[in-house]
Amino acid sequence: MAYQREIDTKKPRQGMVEYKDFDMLKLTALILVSVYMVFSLFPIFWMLSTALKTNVDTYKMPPELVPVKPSLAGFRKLLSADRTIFRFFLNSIIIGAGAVLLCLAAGLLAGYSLSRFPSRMSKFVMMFFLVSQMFPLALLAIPLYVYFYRLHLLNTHLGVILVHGAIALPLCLWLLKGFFDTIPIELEDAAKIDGCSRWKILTRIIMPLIGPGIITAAVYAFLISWREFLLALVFTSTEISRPLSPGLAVYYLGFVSLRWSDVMTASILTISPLLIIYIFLQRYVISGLVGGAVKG
Amino acid sequence: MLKKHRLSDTWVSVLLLLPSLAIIGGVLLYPLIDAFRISFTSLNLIGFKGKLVGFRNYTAIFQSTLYQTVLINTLVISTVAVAIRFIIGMGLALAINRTFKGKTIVRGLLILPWLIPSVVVGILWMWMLDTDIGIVNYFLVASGLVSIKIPWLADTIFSKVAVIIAFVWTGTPFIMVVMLAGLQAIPHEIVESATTDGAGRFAIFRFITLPYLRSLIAISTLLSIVYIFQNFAVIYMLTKGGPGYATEIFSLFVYEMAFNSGRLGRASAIGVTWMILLLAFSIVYVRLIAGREQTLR
Repeated sequence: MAYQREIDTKKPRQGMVEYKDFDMLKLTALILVSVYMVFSLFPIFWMLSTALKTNVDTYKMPPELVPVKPSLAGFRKLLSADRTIFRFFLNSIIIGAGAVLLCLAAGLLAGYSLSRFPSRMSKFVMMFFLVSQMFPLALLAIPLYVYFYRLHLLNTHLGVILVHGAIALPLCLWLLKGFFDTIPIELEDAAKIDGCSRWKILTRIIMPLIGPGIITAAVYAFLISWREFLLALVFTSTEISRPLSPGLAVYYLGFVSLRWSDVMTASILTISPLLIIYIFLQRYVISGLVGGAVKG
Repeated sequence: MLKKHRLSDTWVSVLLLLPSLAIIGGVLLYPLIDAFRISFTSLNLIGFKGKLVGFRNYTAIFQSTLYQTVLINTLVISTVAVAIRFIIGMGLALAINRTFKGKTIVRGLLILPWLIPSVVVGILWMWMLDTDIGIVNYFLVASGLVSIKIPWLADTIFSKVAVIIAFVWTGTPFIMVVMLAGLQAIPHEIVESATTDGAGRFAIFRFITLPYLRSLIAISTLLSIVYIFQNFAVIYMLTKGGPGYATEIFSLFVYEMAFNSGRLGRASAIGVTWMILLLAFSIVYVRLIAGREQTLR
């Protein structure tokens, strides 16, 4: 379709980037990416480095980039004096798992419905997802606090699970609907002709096929719950139900400037499950991340 | 393909939707409407007492200079941070878009800051930007870039910069990943035929890449701004809104008014204005950037 001109590839033409500039561009790109990688990764390295020092050593001037006398004192403290941190950790796991179950249970059913029975409702739900991202959580916290107080849901796991599940649900719905969409309806029709009940179709045929979708939604919901701070802070008050995000903040609030190493150690504990999930389930994390924006 | 809509089908479809509708309706929608109602009362945290006061909360807010400060802070911090996020994120995406050895590893490493929970981001940067023993000041002074240690968290201007740095650090990966996905969706043939016709790299970027990415850019930057609006933990840990109210943004303002001062009615009013502002901003913003032909599907 494009008409072929006689091109003399040796002579520089208007708009053509010369070979020299081409290398320059690549070089600049390489330098910029490297610089940014340092900016990106150094703080994490520094967090680890600080965690491996003793509290006193963190004050050394000039600061040691790599601890001369690495110490696991901080980590040992997590098992003894700072044991509360582990309680927070456990709460985060419980709440995260609960939120995942909630999202999957409600989301799979609804995603199936939205995918197989398209109606004006589905467009509305899609629209709603984007809008729900803009609901100010701090504003929501106000009436919810009143309700939870009256329903005795304050400082319980269930309360936080409900809220985290609700926050993650719109995107999970979107993701799951998208995955259901990729399964041709002919598959179900064929099974129906063969005499399968609707329930059997759902469990035996469709569920296995959307395995990746389930994992993506689960990972997303868990990440949202683990990282959520404001509502977890408002709705919990003690280590009975307080998860790690607010727990970490409040626990060290009084004396953070004296125990930097301990704080960093606890921070590493906070991010470790996320790192593990990321290492093993990287593509699910990314597709959840992108799913919200690209599909919109 | 004929689709028979039996009545039982409708029943089933609604039934399947019920749990989700109940959760979203009960936990997100209903409270939001109720918050709107609360904003017209003088509800207080103590004993949950309050009565209807009409628009009094709103008039008080609009006359308050503190509210105006918070409004400006929120807008400035979020737009500056997202602008920087976009420039860097787009640049990174362009730079990494070619396949090279170790590309997955590089991309994987660059996403890491996004995974870090906001609390940890706040705590980490609070540690790094500590005036006396923070590593950033050490590097700045040791390399001769500055002569004295910068009071990052104690100065009205520098605290804003500190907050923006933290937000850029944690939020750029999002833009980068979305842009990467978008770049990969551009059909090769168009780029190839353009190159054969003699188009330079910048021309390709301007006339092919950007138009293709327009709606993606609109949505991702908007979401990025919204995430900052929503964000609470980073600033709460880093500066607590200080010094004074230099880095106080809406989320902190509502929280403090509600749960420190206990004035739920007033806090709700602030939150409602915040939400209306955000919605209006989004509509205008998307129109502006995505253009009139692109509508949200």
